[in-house]
Amino acid sequence: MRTDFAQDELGSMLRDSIARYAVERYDFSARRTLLADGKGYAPQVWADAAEQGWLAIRHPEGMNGAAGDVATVGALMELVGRHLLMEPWLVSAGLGAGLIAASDDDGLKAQWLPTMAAGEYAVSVAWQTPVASALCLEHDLVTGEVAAVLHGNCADALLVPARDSDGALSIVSIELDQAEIRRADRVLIDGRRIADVRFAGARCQRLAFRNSEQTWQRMRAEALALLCAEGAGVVNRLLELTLDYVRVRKQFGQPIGRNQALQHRLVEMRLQVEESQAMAAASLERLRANASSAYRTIVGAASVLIDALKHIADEAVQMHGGIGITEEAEVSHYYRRANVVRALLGPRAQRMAEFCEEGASDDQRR
Amino acid sequence: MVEGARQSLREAVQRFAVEDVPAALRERSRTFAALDKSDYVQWMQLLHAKGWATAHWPEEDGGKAWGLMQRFVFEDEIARQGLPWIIPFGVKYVGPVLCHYGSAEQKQRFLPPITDTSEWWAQGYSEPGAGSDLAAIKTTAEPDGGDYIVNGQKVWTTYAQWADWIFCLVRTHRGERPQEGISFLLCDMNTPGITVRPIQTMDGHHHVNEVWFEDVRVPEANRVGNEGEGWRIAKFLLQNERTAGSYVGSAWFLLERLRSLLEECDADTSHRQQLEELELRCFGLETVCYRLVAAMMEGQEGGAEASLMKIRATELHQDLARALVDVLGADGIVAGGESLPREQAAAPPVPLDAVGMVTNQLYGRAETIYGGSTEIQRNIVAKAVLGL
Repeated sequence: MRTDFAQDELGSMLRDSIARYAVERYDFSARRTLLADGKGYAPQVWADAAEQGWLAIRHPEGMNGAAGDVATVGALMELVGRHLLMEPWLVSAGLGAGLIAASDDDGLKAQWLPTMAAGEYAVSVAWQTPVASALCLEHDLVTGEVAAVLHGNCADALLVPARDSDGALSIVSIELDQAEIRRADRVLIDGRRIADVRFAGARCQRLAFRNSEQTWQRMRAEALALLCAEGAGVVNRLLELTLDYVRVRKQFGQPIGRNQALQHRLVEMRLQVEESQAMAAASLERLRANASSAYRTIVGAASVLIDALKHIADEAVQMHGGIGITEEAEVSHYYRRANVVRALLGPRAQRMAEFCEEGASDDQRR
Repeated sequence: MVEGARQSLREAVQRFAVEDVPAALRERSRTFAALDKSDYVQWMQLLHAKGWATAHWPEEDGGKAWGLMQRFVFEDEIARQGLPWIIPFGVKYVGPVLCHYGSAEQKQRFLPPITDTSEWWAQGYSEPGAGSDLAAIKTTAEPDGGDYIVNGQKVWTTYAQWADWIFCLVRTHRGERPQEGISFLLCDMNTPGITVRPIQTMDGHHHVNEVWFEDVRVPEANRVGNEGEGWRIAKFLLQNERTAGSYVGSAWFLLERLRSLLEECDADTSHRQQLEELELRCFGLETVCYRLVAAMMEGQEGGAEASLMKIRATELHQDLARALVDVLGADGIVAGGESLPREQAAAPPVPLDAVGMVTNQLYGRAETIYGGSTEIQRNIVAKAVLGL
């Protein structure tokens, strides 16, 4: 079952063309060849994406972009989950491009957006860093550290929040090939890379926004919504794989899917897939509409996805039996991606607390 | 086994952990590091030196005739201390099978090198078409002049890459029911025609294998018990496999690591509540297991005690493993690489056993699958206990 997260022509077109590409060029066996060089993503795919215009989804029309928004990226993110795409779609084409395109600085946009669209330049965004943990900005030099930056190993620049001595917050971009920067790359269980980055007086550029703090908060909300979309893609595929398996695997003279006990559990998985897709779609819709309920929906969705990703991944592997644990089986790769997305959406307790807080403020508003 | 005796045994294990087990090995085991063959052989020999490796064997076979409870307490405490896995294939599986069903010659040949782990054993049970439905095995053993010629394939054979010998369920003839015609055969891994192929699991390690048999010649003298007795022997062995004191000890070990991790991370209320729930489950598991083992000792078994224990223990282990990884947060999805030493006071350092916790959770997903999946165990309980 498929959900149209973008709910418009642009999003549908994008989803269909990327889905076709993924099926033809990025299926499970192709994936292993693509990733053989150990970079954690496929440079060829990034080049193909650039050629197709998929990296300019959020770029303004006047700059050869599609002028899409977060919901458009949501359609892409569902495919990232569904096909286990490894490239920096979220942080570069999604969040990074979104921030740069929204900035008031035309010079910066002209400088960066074309090379990003061409796939020659990739950015990452330290979206997990809250405003309260902003780095130090003094004389246009950044000091501090950010841990676990997604795709930080292959990014050319990083966008982070930084506060100067007056307490004013800016969103800054930092080119990562400076001597004042130390990076430690780590590999995730799903093969993607993160980097811990430390800045000891690194040069940066401020992005111009009317309200940097609000912009950063909104971007963080977008990140969660987009990860929910990725998660929805993952759980849907996990269910599909499991259904395929229980229909063909025979033990005791019949396909194991004939067992009512398993059928009931598969129905539960299907219900959770439904909930995941609905919550992800609602999050993106309300962000697009700037609805006042957007943030509550997003943190609620994150909580639902955190649970669904665990439950569905565990059940999928269990029903595959021994092969579900093996490197060779597709399901084990989705299992690991599910664990990653779940961790990125969390911590659960925090999302639940935010969900309840948002609910209380809604009540007050009423 | 009276409480005082249980306590003495626990204390003896605790002393052993500190005085006899090299600190480096103990530390690696407690931090979920992958151990290699030399580590395990060293470990098994330490147990042997204490007279513990085969203490549960009958006295006439060189054991101390430990009862089920004594063995259970011992295994529990070993696991509780975070000590390495007691490699069961020789001392707990094929060893007791030989003690029970083996001929004098077989015992003489095979028992001594099992006790000191100078020979390493693998378990050839499952096949690609015979997982849950173990009776559906297809590996055949055809008689040929005082030997058997074995053809087939075994899968999920743990540490077969290190094995000198493998005990296999093979089909020597076809009966009315699939369980008939299964025999228990001991094969030398060096025999021409045996090939071991590694299976990589999602934790990145090499635990299990495929073992292929192509026209492998095995002397008839290596058959344990009579032809067709294999299924009964298999059930005897599975009962031992599923009655493991480590069920309880591992749960407590993981819980205590979770407790210390929460202190290191200064974790929030919800994690503490979760710790309390898990602690209650550990306590419940221990209480149930010890009661069931006592019943088994008194011959009051209904036949599904091992299944009940395995269902609950494996679920709990998986939930504990998840809890550890969840507390790690961003560090709980990392497979490898060095982080920068954290400078900010607010960020605790990455625990040394973080990657071990991650791989433990991934491979631990198999606990509810191997040794008879939870689904099969539930079928056994439904039939044997509920009479459905």
